[in-house]
Amino acid sequence: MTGDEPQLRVSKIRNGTVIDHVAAGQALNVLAILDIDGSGGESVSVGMNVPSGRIERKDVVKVEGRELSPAEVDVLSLIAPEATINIIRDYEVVHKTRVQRPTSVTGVLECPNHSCITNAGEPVDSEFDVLDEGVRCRYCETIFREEIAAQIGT
Amino acid sequence: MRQDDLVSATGLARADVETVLDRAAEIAADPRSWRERHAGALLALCFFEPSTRTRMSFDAAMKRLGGDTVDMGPVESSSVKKGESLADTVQVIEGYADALVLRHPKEGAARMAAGYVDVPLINAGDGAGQHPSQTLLDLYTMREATGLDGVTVGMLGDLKYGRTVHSLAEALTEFDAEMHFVSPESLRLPESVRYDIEAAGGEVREHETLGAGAAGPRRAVRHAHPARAVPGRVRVPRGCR
Repeated sequence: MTGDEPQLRVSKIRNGTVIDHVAAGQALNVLAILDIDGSGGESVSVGMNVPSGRIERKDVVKVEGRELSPAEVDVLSLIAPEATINIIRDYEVVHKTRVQRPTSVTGVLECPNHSCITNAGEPVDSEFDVLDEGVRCRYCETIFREEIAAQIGT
Repeated sequence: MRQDDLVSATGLARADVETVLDRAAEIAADPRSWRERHAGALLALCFFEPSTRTRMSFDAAMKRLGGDTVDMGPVESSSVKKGESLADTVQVIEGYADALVLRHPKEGAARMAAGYVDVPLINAGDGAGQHPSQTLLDLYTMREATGLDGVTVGMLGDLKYGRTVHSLAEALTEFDAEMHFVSPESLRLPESVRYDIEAAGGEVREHETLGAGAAGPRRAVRHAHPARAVPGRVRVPRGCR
């Protein structure tokens, strides 16, 4: 690497997970989907709008001390379909995968239909079937295709 | 959820519909021989929204078959007013009855409730979602009048919030029915219903007026939210004329 090339301003982690090639601007949504808000004690590094050869600008999320499972990260495909997951052990990448589109997601998104039973204070998690484009609520059957990130539960 | 729940028309197979309609025809032909068929059985009526026809028709049907009903009564005088959740309510009521009929203002309420009880649950309308029990009535009426194959069906009015239309349209995909939907732009079918019709191999023919494209349905279904669809009588809503 020459001195003229852009440098990532996020340090390496020793053990944990690096979520790379996240669409620019989606890093905080990635953390929300993964329910990482700092309360779990993980060290989290976030790079936003980092230059990337593949997608021009990308976000990067590094979670120290936690290896995310495929089931945990596949839901990211809804907002970051190009994301790659790197499992890091002792500073080395020991496993690298692309996110896979899941068939359903549970408890992650809020149904945008305010008349849906999942928004009525009932003891039920939201459940969505993942379509080719968009997702569909299993309860009220509402389909939404855009701004899925805006429906991430907090 | 049980296989004998009826929460949506989406999963209604043609064979199942025909089984129900055939049985209804048998009862209609000789109601006396069915008078004790459900003797000793209790049907719970859980109506969280006003209803006259649906509530009384379930009540009458159960009693005509020898069974009885237990009615939750008005929401205002139930534990719902004390903040009890729907999930808690149906779990209590299932202890009193052999099956539940549920009407609720929230979409998806029947599907959720069915997941909380071990007795069969019938959706008698959930918000602007589904009304599959009404669909069975509509199909029965249509079969008697015209048959269900080789027909052209027009649905008019508030197609966006009309739960009876949603269920009927999805159920008709199991039959050889050409469907036309007439409504103002703002009251078009929801995307979920159009998705299901097309996924089943059907075609969604939408019109804003009763013009040439929508002409010629052999059987028209009026819909006037929040009432039910009534085959055979057409009332063209303002905006569709």
